[in-house]
Amino acid sequence: MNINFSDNSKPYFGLEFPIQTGESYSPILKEYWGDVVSDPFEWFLSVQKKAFDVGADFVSIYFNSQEPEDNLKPELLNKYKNLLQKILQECKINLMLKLSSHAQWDCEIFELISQIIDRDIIISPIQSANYEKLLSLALNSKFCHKFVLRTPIDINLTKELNILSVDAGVDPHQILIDPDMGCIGYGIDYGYSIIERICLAKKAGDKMLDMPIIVYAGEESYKAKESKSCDFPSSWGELSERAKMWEISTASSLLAAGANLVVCWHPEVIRILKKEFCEVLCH
Amino acid sequence: MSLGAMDIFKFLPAGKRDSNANCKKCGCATCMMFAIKLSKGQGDSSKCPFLPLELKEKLEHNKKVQQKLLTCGNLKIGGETVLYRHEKTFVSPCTFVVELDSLDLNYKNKLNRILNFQFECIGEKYGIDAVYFKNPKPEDVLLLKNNGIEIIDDSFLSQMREVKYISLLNCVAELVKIRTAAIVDRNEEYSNPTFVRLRGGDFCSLSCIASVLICKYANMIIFEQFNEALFASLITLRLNIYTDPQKPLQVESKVYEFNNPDENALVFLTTNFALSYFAVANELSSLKCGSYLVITPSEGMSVLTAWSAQKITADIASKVVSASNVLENVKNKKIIIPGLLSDLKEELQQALPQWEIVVGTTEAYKIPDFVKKLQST
Repeated sequence: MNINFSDNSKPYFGLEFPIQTGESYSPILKEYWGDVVSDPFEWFLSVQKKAFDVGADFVSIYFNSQEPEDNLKPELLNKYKNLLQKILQECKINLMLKLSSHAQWDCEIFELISQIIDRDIIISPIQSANYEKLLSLALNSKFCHKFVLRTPIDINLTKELNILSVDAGVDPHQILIDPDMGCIGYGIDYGYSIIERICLAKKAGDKMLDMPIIVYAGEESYKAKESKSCDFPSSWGELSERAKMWEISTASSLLAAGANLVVCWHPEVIRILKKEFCEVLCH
Repeated sequence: MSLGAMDIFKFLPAGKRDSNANCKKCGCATCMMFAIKLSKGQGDSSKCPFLPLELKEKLEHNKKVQQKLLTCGNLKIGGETVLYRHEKTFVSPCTFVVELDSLDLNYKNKLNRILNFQFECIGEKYGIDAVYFKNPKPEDVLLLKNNGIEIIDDSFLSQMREVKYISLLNCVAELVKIRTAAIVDRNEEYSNPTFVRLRGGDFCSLSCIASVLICKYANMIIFEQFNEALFASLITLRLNIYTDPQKPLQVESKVYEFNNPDENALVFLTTNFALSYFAVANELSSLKCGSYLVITPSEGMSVLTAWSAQKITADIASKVVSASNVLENVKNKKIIIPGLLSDLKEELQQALPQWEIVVGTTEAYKIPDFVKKLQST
């Protein structure tokens, strides 16, 4: 990886895509990406190209789940592995592997795919329910991965998981904090304040919270109906504009709070954010 | 930063373990009670004969206004007392003003869009707060005011402090400096509320810039141009940033109805945390079928928090279900509980034997897919 995110003078941007799309996937993004959406490998190639175009720092592949399903089927696991293998051959940009966030499945998926990972990557999300297993697998390789540690909007839980991970052998420089944000209109205020509090704790010298903060503005804003449904009165504006603004506003407010890395779904959003946040804000 | 009771107490005789401790000369039984009174801005500090000069100065300093509060019709601007919303709460939501000029070619169109712009969010109605009217037409001034939109003019703006927009970085740095001087230092030179003018019609960039300015201390933003999606998203963000972090938002515990449910309706259940309610309600109202949503009395806690704090138990949930008359008519006796409550399933099943408890999704946005699968089986 050619970045280590420790440079606090600017924010970092990632461009993310989910490997499978259901009906809840935004029509705006479907239209933007076009036919490649049906083929995750082709999609990766498009995303990588766009990421270079808009100046993203990394690409995130989201191994999203199709809930509700009781078990992770073995054939699915192999599909994931083959996909990742193909992607790694063509990947020329920094890479994040975002797992499903289902604690149990993620252990199974990662156990299988960790064998083929051939470089330093970012692994996300690691939660208190599976950190032991995931970290032991990841630390057992010759690579120096970054770990996104996710805790549900609570500064004490954040610090606790950081300490536990360091105890498990992780270097503090390998940690990225994911305080589990929502988007605007869906409780962003909670996360917003947690980020501000983490930043204040950093300033006060708390080493166990002094890690870069990552937020998933894309995934979160595209969960909201406002970003994918035309079923709103005219005062809510055009869907295509509103969807972008939902992501921009979510990302911008969290950057204002003190986030360091933002993962987006719409490439144009990264272009706009990079233009305005050319330097990091003073707090 | 206000002085807390403990900050005051440590200067008083009892706080210093002085021989004059709790002398009652101030009229209070203890130094602690006097400190509490002073911290609330009540009582007269000169009643304590042992009050050190340092504390006297601190108390005087503390009486100074941090940020002035201006009013314009129903609008309140400024009056903030903290730098971070988690310390207490922000009080006056950043005011959104749009420029309007009756000599503009598209004047009528812009006026009408501003007048028609109104939407409901969490039971409240929102629109543009005010218009900066150039060459005002009296009849349109009246029309705007009748629609709850105030008029801002230069004489009003002269009570505020303009921060010029050069770049986002530069503007935020200036706003942070001003707000810090006002709140922390109580420096009167900085106590006027601030405003920023944003030019141009690149609405995506404006969305980014204005979002940051809402969070980092602009009391008012004046937009040259108007766009519905921009203001819908900015008002949504503003609502979040200006909610009181000390009060969990909650809704009433009862059974809610969506899309005229009949006997074939689906039944969902979640806690009375406002966010959980609105996330689920949002999805249920977009379903093609009718549904009921059972909201449990869980002190405004989210599903997982309520579960670990025992604020949602089989007992609590079953009581709301059993007390409901409307649910008696439902034929399809299935209750869909949040995926995060799967551990509650068996207990709930025993408490409600006539119902079948179904574990649903962990996130509200997955409900439509879930319902599709449920109905196809």
